[in-house]
Amino acid sequence: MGFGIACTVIDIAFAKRWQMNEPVLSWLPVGMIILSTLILLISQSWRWSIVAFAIQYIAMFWMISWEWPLGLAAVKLVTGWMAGAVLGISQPGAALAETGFTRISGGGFKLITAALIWVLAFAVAPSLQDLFPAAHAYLLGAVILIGMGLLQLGMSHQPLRVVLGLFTTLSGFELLYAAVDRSVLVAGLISGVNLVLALVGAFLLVNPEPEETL
Amino acid sequence: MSTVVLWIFVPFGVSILLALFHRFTSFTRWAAAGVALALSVAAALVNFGGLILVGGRAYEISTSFSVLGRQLVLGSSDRFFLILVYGLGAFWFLGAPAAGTHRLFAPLGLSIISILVASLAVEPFLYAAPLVEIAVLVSIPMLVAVGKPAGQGVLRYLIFMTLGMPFMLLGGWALNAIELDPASESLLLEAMFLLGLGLAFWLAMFPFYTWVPLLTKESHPYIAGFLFSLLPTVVFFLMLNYLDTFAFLRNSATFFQGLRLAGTIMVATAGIWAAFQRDLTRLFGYIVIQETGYSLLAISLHSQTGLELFAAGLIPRLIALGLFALALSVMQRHNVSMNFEEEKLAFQQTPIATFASLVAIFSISGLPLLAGFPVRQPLLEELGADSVAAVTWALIGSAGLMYGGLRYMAALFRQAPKSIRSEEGFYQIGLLSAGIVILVIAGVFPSPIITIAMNILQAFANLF
Repeated sequence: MGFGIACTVIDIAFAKRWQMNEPVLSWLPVGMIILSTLILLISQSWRWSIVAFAIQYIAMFWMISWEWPLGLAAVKLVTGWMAGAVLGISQPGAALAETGFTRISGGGFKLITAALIWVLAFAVAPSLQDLFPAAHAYLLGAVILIGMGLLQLGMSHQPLRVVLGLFTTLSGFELLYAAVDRSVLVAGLISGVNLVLALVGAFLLVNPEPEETL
Repeated sequence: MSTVVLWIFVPFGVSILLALFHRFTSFTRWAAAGVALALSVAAALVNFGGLILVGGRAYEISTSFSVLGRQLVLGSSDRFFLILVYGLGAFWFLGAPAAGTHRLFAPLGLSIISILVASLAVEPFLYAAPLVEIAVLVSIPMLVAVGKPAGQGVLRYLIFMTLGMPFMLLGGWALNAIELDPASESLLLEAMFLLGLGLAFWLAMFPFYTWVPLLTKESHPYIAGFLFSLLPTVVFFLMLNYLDTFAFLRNSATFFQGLRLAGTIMVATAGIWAAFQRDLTRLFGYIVIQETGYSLLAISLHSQTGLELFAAGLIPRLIALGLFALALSVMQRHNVSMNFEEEKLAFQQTPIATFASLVAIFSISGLPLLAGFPVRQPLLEELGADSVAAVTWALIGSAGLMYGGLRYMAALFRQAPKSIRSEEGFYQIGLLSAGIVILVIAGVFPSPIITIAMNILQAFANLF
């Protein structure tokens, strides 16, 4: 969190100094999003996936802070990390093992499809500037999150992957929505949705045996 | 005292208390049913915005409540919706002991109802999307069989319903933006595209309905039935709210053409798949899809008559879905196979449940003298006046579902039953028989139910 805040402060300072439209270091969070979503897609280890998930939310917080006050943007980071913590402590062990792919060919296939999403995102993001008043890097990050999340959802049958895919997709939409609306109520409700989604993910991972009914 | 506190916070609080005592399954079912019934009756009797006397003291019932700078409002125009939705809750919770549902069904069901009521009460109602999503998320634990991994149907339900939320939020933003810039053609198209996509996800419209038969097959039919009667009803109300509020949306021919196309495809494809279906639980899924399709077709008529037909179809549809879900649950409880090929002993073991399921199928497919017919016939007549192609496909869909019902009946009586030894309990027989009688009476004397259902339209003063 400290790293994210430091980067944001540097970012805002540089942007003000040189009066640029695009925040300085704006490509760094996009890079973080590309890397974290790729790890989420390919990784077979839930630990790496949770780490990537946390990094994804740092990048998202960084970008939202360009549009929202720092305090309100921090809500996204806190919510995301709490969701990651809930999912992290609910691991039964082999929650990410896919049955349909071998490790190398499956990874290669996923890498190629991810590359297609990146190309698509680079092609689509500029045209979104007509609809959403935000920086190019910001929209690029949002489109990559939505695309990679949908890719994850389309390729996975495991509850953890599905829940992480939903979080990734929702993060992208949250970025888009943050560019047009600053409502505290919506921010709170979406945070509530994220936390309940994390709890549902935890339930799907550990689904307890029945208790005796009275 | 506020209507919002009474019809949102009180049931939500009760649901939390019931969740704490979920091990006392029988108690939670009856308590949830009692609370839902009391709230439904209270909605019919209480004077919204007036005074009530409790213990000699007068309390004013205000109709709004402020949360984080926004308002939750439940006024007189919402009265019939409250009666309907809490009555629906009572109807499903009363049937839960006969259906043998999950222990979390009653507490979570009550909380889902209160959250969905909040989604219709929030102003501006564009903020309803996250509340509907929370209701969907709360429903997941009762859909997954205890101690078993989640199936594809549940995961797809989670995915598609969750994807609906951001589209509805962005669509709501676009609608607000149009109010500031009414001349913007691109914003109008964007708003319609986003809202259309959001509604398509939430109502399981074509092509996003593949999860419906999967969910009905792998989840408890009664719980699936509860969700499929409640969620589409609330989403349809939200859609009518959008149409009521935004003039450019209700005047848009493109929007209604889209609804008609989606409705026609849903009715036709669901009917065709139902005709070749061999599993009763999957047939239930196709029935749900077809019912949603018919509701879309009614709204797509873009007229007062269409809206009245939508409202008139609501109660028969909910009763038929409830009866079918209960019949399936009773059969499952008595280990009766849901597969047509293995149905030989179904009628001997559970005669009332199998008969009830047949009545529900034929009512939904629009057989004369059953509750679905008095609404289906004028709907097809109105649709035929507008579009011969749409009514032809709708008739093919209805015929497909009816054929599916006939195939099921043939499977039941492939061998003449030697002796009938009903394993159903008195409570199950009572509820199933009541459902059959209501569907027949509503088919022969449809006017009272249709007159009651018309009250729903009070909430939409600007429509048509």
